[in-house]
Amino acid sequence: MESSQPAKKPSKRLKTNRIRAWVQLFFFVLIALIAINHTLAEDGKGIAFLSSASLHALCPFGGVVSLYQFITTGTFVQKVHQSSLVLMIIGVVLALFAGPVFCGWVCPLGTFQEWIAKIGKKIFKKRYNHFIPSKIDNILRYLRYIVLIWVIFMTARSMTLVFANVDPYFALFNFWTSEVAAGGLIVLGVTILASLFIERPWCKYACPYGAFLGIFNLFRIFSLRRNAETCINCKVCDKACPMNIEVSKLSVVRNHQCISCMECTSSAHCPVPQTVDFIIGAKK
Amino acid sequence: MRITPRWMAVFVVTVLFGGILISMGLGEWTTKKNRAPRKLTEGKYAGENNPADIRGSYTFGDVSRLFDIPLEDLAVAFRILEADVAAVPLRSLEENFAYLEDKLGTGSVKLFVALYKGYPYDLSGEDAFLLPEAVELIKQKTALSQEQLDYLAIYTISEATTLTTPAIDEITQPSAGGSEGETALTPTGGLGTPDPKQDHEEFAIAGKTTFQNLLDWGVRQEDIEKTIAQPLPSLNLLIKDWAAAEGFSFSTLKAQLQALVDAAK
Repeated sequence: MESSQPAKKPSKRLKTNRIRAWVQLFFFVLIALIAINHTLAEDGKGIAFLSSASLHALCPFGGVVSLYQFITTGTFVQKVHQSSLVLMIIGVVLALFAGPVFCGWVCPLGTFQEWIAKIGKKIFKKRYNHFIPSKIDNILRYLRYIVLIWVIFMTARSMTLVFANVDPYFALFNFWTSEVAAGGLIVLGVTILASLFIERPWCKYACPYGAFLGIFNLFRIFSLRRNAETCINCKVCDKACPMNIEVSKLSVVRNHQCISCMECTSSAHCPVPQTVDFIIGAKK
Repeated sequence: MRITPRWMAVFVVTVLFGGILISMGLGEWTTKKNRAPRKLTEGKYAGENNPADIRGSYTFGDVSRLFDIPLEDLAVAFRILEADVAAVPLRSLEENFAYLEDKLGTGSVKLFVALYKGYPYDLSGEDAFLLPEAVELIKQKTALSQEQLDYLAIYTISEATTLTTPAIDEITQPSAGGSEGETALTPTGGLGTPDPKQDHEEFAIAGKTTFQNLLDWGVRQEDIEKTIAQPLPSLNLLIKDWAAAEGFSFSTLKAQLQALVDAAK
């Protein structure tokens, strides 16, 4: 039974999910090196053992936007390659099991926003990530589905990678090349600025791939559960969630914004063992 | 069963890289476009790779391999100074020879390969230039027809032009008199005769021209789509970038679109 008494102070020091931080760093560095190698390879100076693929070839969202054209004509949208389709399938498999784990553990743009967030947290302390009134915020969270529909529709109509013109992920890893559209750099700049006030603003309000993967939270196989019987209602899980999900009010987290980062779990911030956990199968 | 961050990390990395490895094993992991050009379908060279389908995304290594031309000959023909000739992309020609106003590009490679191999090649509507060294190599390798010789007489970049790297201003703003030392390139390959298009420089397609510019200049959308044989891409896209991504010769496309611009004026 859930405790009705006032919140107790957590009995032990808060942990951080260092494993996730290392995995994120690994993928960020890997993508950065491939992007640099792509530029070097264009001049015939590429590093042989490292992939020199363009970032468009390594973006699973390319597979999503290409799906219509691939089904109807058997071809990919300009700049998108078969690897994007493979990554899309892998992303879907991951999401079927664990939700948008790609967003929380792999996406370098998400990682970059979290790094900027560290500065924002130092500046604004407890006010950080709570600037937008929740009523407005709740509505804004659905903006990314409008972006998703717009991108898929426009890509299918024009058969070009329209999203590349505003893509902050591509801009982040190609800002030194002439391939980046001004729109991408502007969106990246706005994302960086907003990250000083809000955690993962791009992911929350605009990312179409996050919107796509978020749907899998409704039926993912690994479920994120809170044990009401052992919960001490300290709300540490709410504070730890970068996506502002009120985990303390839920028994199973099915929110479309959850990025499966596990920061709320007993393995990370939750001070009570076996209280908030990712679980396979029925709750014990 | 509870999943710890450690298990989640193992799960993510295993599924991600395992999936990539499996797709590699199945031959489904491709991060580059298919580099095989279409084949010639008629005549005695039917079944050979078609030089008209050479794309800007190819490297000289691709061209050497696909058309069985020694890299040394390609390096001489296009004055490639890099040690690793095979890795140099064709699209870099337009950048390296920017002072020639995009006269030397992927279209030049197509023309060179076709003539070098003795393949049939439709020269009508072609406006690709070649360097003198390339023409010399072709003449050594194959017997040219009179039509081809006439074409090369016009579309060989003159020695004087290529030996120096003039400032862009010298090319784009020749004096009306055509005095000695001017470097404006003309279809006669000579020096000193201004390009008529330069009179209308503000409507001249260049590296920074977008599809939106074409519409602004009065070109009809359907004419553009007919020329590029595709629906109009994003209007803010640079035509040069689009051509490179699609494997078209920018110089050839530029000439075709410029004709539309001139007609619309």
